[in-house]
Amino acid sequence: MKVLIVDDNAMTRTMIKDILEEMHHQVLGEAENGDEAVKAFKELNPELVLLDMIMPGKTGMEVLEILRGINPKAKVVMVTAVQQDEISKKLFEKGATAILFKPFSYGEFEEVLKQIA
Amino acid sequence: MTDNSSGILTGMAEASLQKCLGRLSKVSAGTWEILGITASRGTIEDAVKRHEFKNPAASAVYLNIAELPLLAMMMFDPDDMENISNCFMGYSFSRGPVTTQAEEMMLLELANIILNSLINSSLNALKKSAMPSVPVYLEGDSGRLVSGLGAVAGLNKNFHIIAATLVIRSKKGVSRSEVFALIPEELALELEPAK
Repeated sequence: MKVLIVDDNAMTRTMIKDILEEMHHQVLGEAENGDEAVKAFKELNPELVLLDMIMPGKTGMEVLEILRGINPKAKVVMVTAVQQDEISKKLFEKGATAILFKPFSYGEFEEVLKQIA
Repeated sequence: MTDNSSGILTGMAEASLQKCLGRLSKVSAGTWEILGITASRGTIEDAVKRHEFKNPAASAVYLNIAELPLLAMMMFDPDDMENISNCFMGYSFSRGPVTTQAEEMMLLELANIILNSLINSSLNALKKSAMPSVPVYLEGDSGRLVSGLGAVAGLNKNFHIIAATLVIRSKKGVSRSEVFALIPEELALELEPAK
């Protein structure tokens, strides 16, 4: 899949990128905040976005709503340590394809990507 | 705040931390365990002083939820950076005289995972939801950390403090870290019946 990675932590972006490339996915770009994410999403038209929840500026939930307005067909997987029942429910209501909770193993990451492919 | 409710809050924090550390032990190169957990009352300064300052400076990462309000923080000793990176990343950062950006990023991500596990359990028990702040990194001596954290949560405010000491083991070493939840009295009272 052609992927956009959105996370404010450069180390996490690199870790996710390494896993994706090992799985033979194509990382089209990276963004470290919501505004960059929206811009990159419009320019790169990815099939999948891995989207962090807590970032400076717009939250992942706000970004998810914007991305859904631009392209409802793109898959958006939220990658987050926020595991609150109400927030998870809202994310699915707003169109998240899946939620990957941190910390996760390589196998769990792979499994989520297989399920949504 | 009764002894009983202290026990409830401590039990809730312990259960959520154990679950999170169990996950970390499964998916990372290290073994992560709780050495001990206590409940007390005090200020931010009282919490920071619980860290054993082996060096003049320590690192701290905090998250807060202003609308509750709730502050969670994690403290690290700079000498433990190599062991923590071995455990969390699976490789070692060579330790220099100052904390590098990569080390700061690692501590931010690690604390983000552990502190959110504490916050998640409290909010799920209350059937509430709130987005935590972006994790913030602080470094310095006790006075500097107290003043930085005090600016966020109130320097003289009294909190119900849940403090857990974590043991982080790799094949090459062992280190400790402290995790704190600073809960205002009103929220602690809400959590008791919620349990």
